Amino acid sequence: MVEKAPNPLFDFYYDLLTATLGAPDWLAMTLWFLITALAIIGIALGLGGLMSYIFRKVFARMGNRVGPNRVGPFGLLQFLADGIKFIAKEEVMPLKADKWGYKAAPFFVILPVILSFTPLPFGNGIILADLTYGLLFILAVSALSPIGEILAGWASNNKYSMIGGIRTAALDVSYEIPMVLSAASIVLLTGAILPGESGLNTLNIVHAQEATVWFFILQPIGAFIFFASALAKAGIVPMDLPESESELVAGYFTEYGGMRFGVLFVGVFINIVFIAALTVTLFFGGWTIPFANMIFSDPNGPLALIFGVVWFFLKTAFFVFMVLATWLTLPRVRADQFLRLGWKVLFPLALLNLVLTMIEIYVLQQAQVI
Amino acid sequence: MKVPVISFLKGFRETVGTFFEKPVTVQYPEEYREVPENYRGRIRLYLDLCVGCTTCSNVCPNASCQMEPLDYQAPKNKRAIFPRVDVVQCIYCGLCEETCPTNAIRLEKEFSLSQYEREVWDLDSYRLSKTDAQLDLEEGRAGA
Amino acid sequence: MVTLNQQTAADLWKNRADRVPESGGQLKLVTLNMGPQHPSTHGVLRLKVTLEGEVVRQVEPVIGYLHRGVEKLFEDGSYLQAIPLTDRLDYVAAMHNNYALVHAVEKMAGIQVPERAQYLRALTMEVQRIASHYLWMGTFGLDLGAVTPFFWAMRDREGALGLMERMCGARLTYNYYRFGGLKNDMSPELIRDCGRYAKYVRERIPEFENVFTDNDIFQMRTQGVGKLSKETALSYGVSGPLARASGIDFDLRRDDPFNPVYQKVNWKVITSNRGDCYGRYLVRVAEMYQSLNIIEQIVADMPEKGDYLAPEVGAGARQHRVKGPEKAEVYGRVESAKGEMGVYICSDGTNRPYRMKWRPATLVNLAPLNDMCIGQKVPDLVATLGSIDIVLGDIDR
Repeated sequence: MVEKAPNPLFDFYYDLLTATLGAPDWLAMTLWFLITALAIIGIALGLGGLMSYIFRKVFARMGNRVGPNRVGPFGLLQFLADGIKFIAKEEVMPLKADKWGYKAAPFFVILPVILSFTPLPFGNGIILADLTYGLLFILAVSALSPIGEILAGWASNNKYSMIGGIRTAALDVSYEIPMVLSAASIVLLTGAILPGESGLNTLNIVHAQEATVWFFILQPIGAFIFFASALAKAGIVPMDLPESESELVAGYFTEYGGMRFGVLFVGVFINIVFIAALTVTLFFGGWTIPFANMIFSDPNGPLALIFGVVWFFLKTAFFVFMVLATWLTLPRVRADQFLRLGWKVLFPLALLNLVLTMIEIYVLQQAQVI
Repeated sequence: MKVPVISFLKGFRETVGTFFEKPVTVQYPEEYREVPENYRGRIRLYLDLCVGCTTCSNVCPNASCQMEPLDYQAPKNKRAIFPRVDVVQCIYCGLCEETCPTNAIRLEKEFSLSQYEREVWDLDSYRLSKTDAQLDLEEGRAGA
Repeated sequence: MVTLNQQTAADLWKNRADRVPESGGQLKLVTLNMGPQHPSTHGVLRLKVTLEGEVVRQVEPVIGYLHRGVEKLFEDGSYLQAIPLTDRLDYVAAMHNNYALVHAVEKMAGIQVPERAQYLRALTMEVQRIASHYLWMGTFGLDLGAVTPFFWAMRDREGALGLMERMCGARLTYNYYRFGGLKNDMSPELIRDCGRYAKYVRERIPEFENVFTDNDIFQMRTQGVGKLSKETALSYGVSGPLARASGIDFDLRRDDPFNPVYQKVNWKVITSNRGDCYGRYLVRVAEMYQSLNIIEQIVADMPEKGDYLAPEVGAGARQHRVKGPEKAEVYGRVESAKGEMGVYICSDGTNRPYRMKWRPATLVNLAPLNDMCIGQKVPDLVATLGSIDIVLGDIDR
């Protein structure tokens, strides 16, 4: 059995159920899994809704407009109104569409996005599931989305959707590789800094950055490659193919309506938050505060914990703004141009980055830093 | 392939700079943008000035202005005919106002004209002479 | 006189839009219908695109979805009643349409336009040209995927629309020009505000240039895309910025002057020999700067006193009675924002035209779309269509 890190919340819950209420072990565990799953979905969708509101506000301000400000205070309930609108709409399925493919496809597209929040640490020890292979889990799960995209494109019985689906899947698969390679460099570094610990564990990655320095400084190329590849996978302008609105109407989800479309639509926004959070975790120190020992008398106490969470969200918000600025400023790159970019530029760069990382680790070990 | 950072940064400066500017939106209906004096809005007929020369109905490009007899005594209007305008069909070109010799038919500044039925807007000459607010009051229409 | 060389003629015939296309390779040909409802076809234009994989083999534009029978409606009314109808043709740049009709009728009836009216007309034409090019820049960015400059373009265009609202009372369908001058005069404050607007625009165009001109992604998307060679352009008869970006040095304001003010101010005709979308973008931005120069010089040189309408014609109902000579045929053309817009009038001696044929700038400009797009990809097709700057009201009439 794998050694898991102590999780005080789980301990409290387990004691409450088994000792106080007398529930059997299997019931407590099942309920725990259920609660965790609902928590993941709730957090992900909530963040997605909030992100859609932020997107509309930022987009408006960048065009000298105001953005939603009627529904709720400052328009904050706008995403609820949009959600209700999506639910209330009629879902029109094309007559000759492949029924089961059409219905199954959105699951494959939205599932990776929501699941990826599981091993993401929001604070010191605040993590939904401390997986030993957390980063591998994230990368593996995100490889599921091309299936959904091709399935949606094909099952819609629409040429636009098919072209959009194939383009999107090509994009996803091509940019997966530089992303995995730059993440692999991080894993190597973490394993070297914390010998004996799993380099794939996201908590370990942040602890390694706490021990030395933010990985952004050790791996500038890797950070850039990772950020660009993650943006491409999420389908954000300038690599906007899934939703290249002016060309293919709406890409592979042209024929979807109602909540099926709503789910895909909010998936893009959840993805933005997720990319920002992942970049912060991997390259910018997660929740670590520089000079924590000097600021806080008890770096492991509750005050530092809360401040770490707030700091994490602030950093994520900054990266979200960077993503939005990229989305709203740059035009779209053409399909073949950025496939060329992915394979001919980012992939060799990622390989080079891996080799450089190995050299870096050797140098640092020789210099007794690690 | 050169690294396109500088050109992107120029673009970012514009977008992020605009992000911090004040929005230029006029929040209608709380705020309101004034229209100039010669704005071509709703047609209004001044009954006492009309002489029944039918120039306005001759010059209307899409025949939304027709003459009809009305039981009203206007000075100088011997035939007692007045223009009748289907305000919805009117294209607000202003030719009738321009060619009217006595400045009896004018396009005023009213522009927020919405009703629930289309027939409401086929105004006979009497109703043409009232402003929208007066019509709302007299007929108990929406918007009153 | 330009002669078309035999090779270009053969190529044009081989690639004409209604022939059956042949596949370039091993992939099957697929017909994609970018139908009348589409976010990027600038109106209701249908494009039957034959694709091989992602490469375009043939584009056939199908028009007529906005046809309103305007040329028949012209025959129903007098020349005065036709002026509001022309507003609705190229609804983005309505002053230019008005001017085409008014110019042709003045040519036919031999009406002299007073000097102040000519200055005011040139001023309004250039303000309208700036508004039209702004709209084009915003929508071109949208076609390429840059969503923010659209709102900046709309915001800056509001200034021009506000000026024209003060001139004539409407923001889009102006109905402002009359035979022999204008409908009403412009006050000195309004003229001064036009100058102020020009100064404001001069500070605002660099915003767009920063986002577009040097941007590598924009250059990747527009350079080499939608190339139109000079011979092809001449053989199709394109005009306006599309022709000038292919190297044809022709601008009606200089070469067939419909307004003598253009000879009196300093401005240049901008051409480019790139022929691709990037060249058209550069030409239009430079044209905006030239329009600003013209506006500022006109505001400085405007004669204080003068008639805004020729007294021999008069205002009001006398405009309705303007008639042409019997059995006259005249063609009057102006340089609109999209190209050469003209109207061919056959008159029969009454105040109603016998026939008015409108030469739409955008229909002729749309014709070489097939030749520009063969061998390129679908996003390039969208970019090319956006760079031609079509308005369906003008194409379909």
